[in-house]
Amino acid sequence: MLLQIKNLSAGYGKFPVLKGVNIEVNRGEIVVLIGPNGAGKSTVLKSIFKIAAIYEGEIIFKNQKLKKISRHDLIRLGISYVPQGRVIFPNLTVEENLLMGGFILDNELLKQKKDRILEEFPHLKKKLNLIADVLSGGEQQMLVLARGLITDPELLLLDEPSLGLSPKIQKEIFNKILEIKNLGISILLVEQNAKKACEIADRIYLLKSGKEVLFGGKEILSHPLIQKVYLGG
Amino acid sequence: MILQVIINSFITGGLYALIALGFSLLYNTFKFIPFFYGAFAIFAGYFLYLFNSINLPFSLGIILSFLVLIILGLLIDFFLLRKFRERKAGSVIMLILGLALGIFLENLLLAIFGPNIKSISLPFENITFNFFNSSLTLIQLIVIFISLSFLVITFFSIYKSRYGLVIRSLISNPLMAEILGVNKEDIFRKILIFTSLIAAIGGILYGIEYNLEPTAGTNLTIKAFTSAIIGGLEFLPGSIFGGFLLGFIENISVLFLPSAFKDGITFIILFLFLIFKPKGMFGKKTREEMSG
Amino acid sequence: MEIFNYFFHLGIIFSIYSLLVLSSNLSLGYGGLFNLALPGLALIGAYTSSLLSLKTNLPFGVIFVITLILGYLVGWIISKITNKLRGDYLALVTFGFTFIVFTLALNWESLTRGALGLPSIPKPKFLFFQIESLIEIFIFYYLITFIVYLFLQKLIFSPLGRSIQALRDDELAISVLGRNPLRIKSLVLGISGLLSSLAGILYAHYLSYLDPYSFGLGDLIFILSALFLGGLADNRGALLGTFLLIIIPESLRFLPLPSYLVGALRQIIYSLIIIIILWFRPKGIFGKIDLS
Repeated sequence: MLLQIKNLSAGYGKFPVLKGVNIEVNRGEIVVLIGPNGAGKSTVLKSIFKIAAIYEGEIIFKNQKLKKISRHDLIRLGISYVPQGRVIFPNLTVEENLLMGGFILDNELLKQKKDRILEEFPHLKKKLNLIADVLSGGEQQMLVLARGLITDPELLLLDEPSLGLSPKIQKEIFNKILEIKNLGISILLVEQNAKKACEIADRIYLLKSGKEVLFGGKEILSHPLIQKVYLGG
Repeated sequence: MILQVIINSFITGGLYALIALGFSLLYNTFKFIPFFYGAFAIFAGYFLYLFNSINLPFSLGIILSFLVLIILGLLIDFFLLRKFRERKAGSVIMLILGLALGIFLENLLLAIFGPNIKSISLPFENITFNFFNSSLTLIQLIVIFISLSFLVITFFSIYKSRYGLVIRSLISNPLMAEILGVNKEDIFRKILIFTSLIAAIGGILYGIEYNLEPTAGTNLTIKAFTSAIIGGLEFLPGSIFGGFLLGFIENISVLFLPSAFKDGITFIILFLFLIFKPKGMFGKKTREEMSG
Repeated sequence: MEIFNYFFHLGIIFSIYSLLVLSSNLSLGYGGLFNLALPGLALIGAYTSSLLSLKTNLPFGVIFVITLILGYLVGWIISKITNKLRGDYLALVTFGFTFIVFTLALNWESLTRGALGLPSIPKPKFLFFQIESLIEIFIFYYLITFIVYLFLQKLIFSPLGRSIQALRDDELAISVLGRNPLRIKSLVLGISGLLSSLAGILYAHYLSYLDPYSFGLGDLIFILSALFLGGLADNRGALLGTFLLIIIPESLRFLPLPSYLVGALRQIIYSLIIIIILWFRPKGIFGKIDLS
């Protein structure tokens, strides 16, 4: 078990958004969190990266409790977080965006990793000197994915990577995510677009009102609760 | 005649560009208009005057003035700015805060040092170089040299070094930078120290070349602000360009207009830019900026 | 009775500055518009009225009305210019406006006599009623201020007033209410312009002397500190703030201090109040709006 979230209650202010949620991610799998708006899917990821406050419960990664660990060290341990909304550095070039992904790395290592990532993302190679702002939505999403991988993470946290993208581009993104899985990287994926995300999932959690109400492998896809989400998603 | 104008443009322009750079750096990092920056800079000038008048060696006086300003800057941040940062205060509140702080500092100087012009006595003779019908004093040469070198060094640090990249990423998307492991408060503090240093250098150079009076603070702030607006508030090198352009316009205007208008020109330029080109000559339009 | 004269004088000053602070409360407290053009508008009103009185034979009543209309128009024009700008940029443009007016007043010597100022401005005279003595001025000005206060209170509590406050809280809501936010903005800025002009007229015709320094940055700080002290969006608070901020520094006059020091201390008090209020009690004494 790579990541274990035990009985997590977390939120942003007075009232917890997550009310005792339990999630597991094993090595080499894609775990997808789906559910209605406000269910707390993003909050799960944000709790790991200390953007949301943890009120109760534990998060354990590679047998290490994450409570007292700084963001710097989270990355060093092997977790990478790509927040919602194509979070590029708009004023920096594509190359500079990638370099920032490797903030915690020293210069030598950074250059190596950057070159390796560009092999996985050949489209970005041609655009290295462009200002990130001028890229299309899909290209920007690819950029933040690439940036998230520079530190060679073991676990990648992705928050709604398909948001605001056309179906065709979404397909490319999800294919890319599969490629990433095939590199041996585990992925915890939060998605609004339940249908497409579940196609590539190994395991799925359905979150509602801050708790997991259903989970399992692909067999749960025919469950009526999931069907309801599909119609909504 | 034109050569003198060009020389003078470098003197004034260099000084404006220097202060504008500090101003712009503060704005882009802390995300509010630091209206106190001019008064803050002049503080250093006055302190040098103070150290001078108690007969401290000149170079010691300069170093102490730098220290005083850096400490003052850190105090302002620690006791004032940080609290508002934690509260996530709106940028207009910070603007008013900056304004109030600037007025406070300026009147503090007025109260302590009085309204009369003070000049800083130099430990060396200010010789004048004459050539081609133009003149340049040693001090003016020093001003040009120091401001230009500082600007070049800063420019290269910010755009060519890795540390500069980190700063630019913090400016570009602070949240993402933090997620990638950047320690925001630590960098903020370093930028504060750096901009205090720029302010100190600028204030001292200003005091030496133009002499000191308390209202010089507001004057400098307006010049810095106008320079930054000309080049585009969001674009750091723009403020350097704006500073030189403003210096040039000011100096060339004396050929056509009575010299009393020299300062007035700045306001008119400022006003015109704010209305017609608020993003400056190099700025990019972002939808959110215009609608508050 | 020297002491009575002194109190009458203070009272008159209070009524004049109340107009400025009330006007600012309308823009900022109720409308949420950071209109820093008020001192500039007051200066325009003061100069217009004074020049017309000195150079033409128009009856004062006519001059009065013309100046007020001009004030409204300028305010309206400012709103048109800053149409799509909110927050920062509105504050900056209006701030620049105040400085431009100052520069024009200072440099357009053929019109305004520049720094020499305009002396011997006649006291107000309506029809056959020449207002001469201190007491008459006191009563007359109070009447005006009182009428303005009533008018503003009525405006605020009317449906139009609700729209104005919606401007501050949620521009979207206004469109839903069926009103045009830009129209409301123009109205608010127009009225502010008119009231500021009024303050300028009363000032000039009371002191009989006017120069470019009569309304400026210092007044801006005064207005903001009075508003923050008394609390935004509450006219009683605005008046209280004005009252306190006139009385407290006046006590400094009785100390044997040089005049520049009194001036400096006054500004220090005002700016400190702004900083302190923002720090501790963003609502002020009466206010309803939390600035953060």
